[in-house]
Amino acid sequence: MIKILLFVIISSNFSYSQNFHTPENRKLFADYLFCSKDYLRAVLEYEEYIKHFDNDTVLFKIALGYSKIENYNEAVKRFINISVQSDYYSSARLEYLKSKLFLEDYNSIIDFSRNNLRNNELKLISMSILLSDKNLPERNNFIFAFEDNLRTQIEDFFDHKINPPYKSPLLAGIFSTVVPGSGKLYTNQISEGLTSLVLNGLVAFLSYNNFKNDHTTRGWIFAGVGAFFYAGNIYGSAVSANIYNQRVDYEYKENVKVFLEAHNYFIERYEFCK
Amino acid sequence: MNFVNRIILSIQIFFLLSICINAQTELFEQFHYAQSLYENENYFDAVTEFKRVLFFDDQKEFQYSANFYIADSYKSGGMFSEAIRYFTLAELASQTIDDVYICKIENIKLNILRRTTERANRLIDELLSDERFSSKTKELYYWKGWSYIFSDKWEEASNEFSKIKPDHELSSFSQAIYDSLYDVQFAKVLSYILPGAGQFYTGEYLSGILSLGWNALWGYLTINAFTEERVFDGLVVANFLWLRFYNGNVYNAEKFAREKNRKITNRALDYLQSIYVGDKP
Repeated sequence: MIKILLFVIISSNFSYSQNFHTPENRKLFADYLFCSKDYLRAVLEYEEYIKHFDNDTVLFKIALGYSKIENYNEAVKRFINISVQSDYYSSARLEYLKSKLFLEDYNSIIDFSRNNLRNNELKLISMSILLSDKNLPERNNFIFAFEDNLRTQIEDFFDHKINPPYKSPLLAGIFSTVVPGSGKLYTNQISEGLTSLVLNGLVAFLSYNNFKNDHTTRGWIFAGVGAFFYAGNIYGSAVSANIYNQRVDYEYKENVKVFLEAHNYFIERYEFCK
Repeated sequence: MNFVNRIILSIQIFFLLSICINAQTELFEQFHYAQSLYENENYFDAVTEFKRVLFFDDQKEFQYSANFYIADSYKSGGMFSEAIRYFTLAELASQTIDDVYICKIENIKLNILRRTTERANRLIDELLSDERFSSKTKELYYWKGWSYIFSDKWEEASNEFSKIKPDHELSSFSQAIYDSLYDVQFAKVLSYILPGAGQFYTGEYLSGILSLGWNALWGYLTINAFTEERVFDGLVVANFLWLRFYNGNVYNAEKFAREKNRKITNRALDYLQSIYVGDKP
């Protein structure tokens, strides 16, 4: 009896060896890396693990890791392959949409399978329409997916998209043709507008004054300079309106992105690192 | 306890001890593997393997060395903030005052490299006022000198190096660099007084002559217009031409002085990086 016991204990002792690179140990280590936010290394360790074991959570965490390190192209490929049977299937669909949003691939988001769309997916798709160049649906069809507390904000975004507070480059040009600098005032460029008005007025006066005093050459020089300033003022006003509109678009998109960030892209927070 | 029980107990103790020893042996092997990656400059994998050591190191035996290697690998990869984090962790795991000092110095060097000079100087001052490191004063002056070099304060750098030894190599080097730098304010003032003079001071003679010529021309036309009572013409030429060229001349003098200074300091830093053989951050 004692001999058997001795043999078992000693043989098990000598066969014991802590290999840090076994799949199980790799997974433990990868979990630690993932929670330390070292996502790239975590992904590489998980990749080694799934060569030996099939694990839905690990597959999802690999995709999530790629998303965290902003490798959205790889993340999209991984999220789309999460199986329907996986516990993370619905999260993977949302994460897929989120990654596509970061890739600014709005067409793919809008074309995303419309069968059995979940509410949060619908919200993300709606927000993508706000960021894309696509036409908006009916107001009620658009906002019905959102809860009451979000609707005011969503309606603001919706109204902005339908009727953005743009300035017309044509109108800015016409204003500046009639009164130099007024086109820039129209696009909220107050100091530039006033400078343009004074400069054009000054050069025009110089030209007029020189002609009046028979300094014809100087009169023509100032007239030429005046014409140049005048044309520049009209062109500059139209450009100013375009820049104004680009700023409106930029701020609008930033506001939508901040809103999405604040609501975590309508994705529930994971509890991998509790 | 009978004889058989004593035997079993002894075997169990032996079993547990050898498990621990085996585990630590594996950890040693893992540590050496990570070290070999580090020595082969495969820093990414080295960090991974050192982190693996830390993760499985239940007895906290490698806390200092693994954290230190991770920090150094991050430093080699240019990830200074991460490096600072791990040097701090290494410092927390330090067993001796020398290890603490080494980690602190590494953090100072990283702050010098990422040009957070104030932080570097504050850390140096803390060490200088710490009696435990009173024997390291010269080394601390040395790194303070480097800190000033990286913040482009060559005269202060020279002063710090001279505290080590009045004729310290880097002291005279820093002083020489400081002496060869152009005084930006002086260049501007010269150009205010005589257009083009600032450019002459920085060695840009052609630009200086052109600047002087343009200013003389528009100045003459302005004064001429006023003397002939063409006040409006005088105002227009003065405002739209002379003043612009005058301001441009001052701006140019400042720009040339700064550009020349940048070239001088870049050359100096190149020398320190590739030719100077002493310790570097």
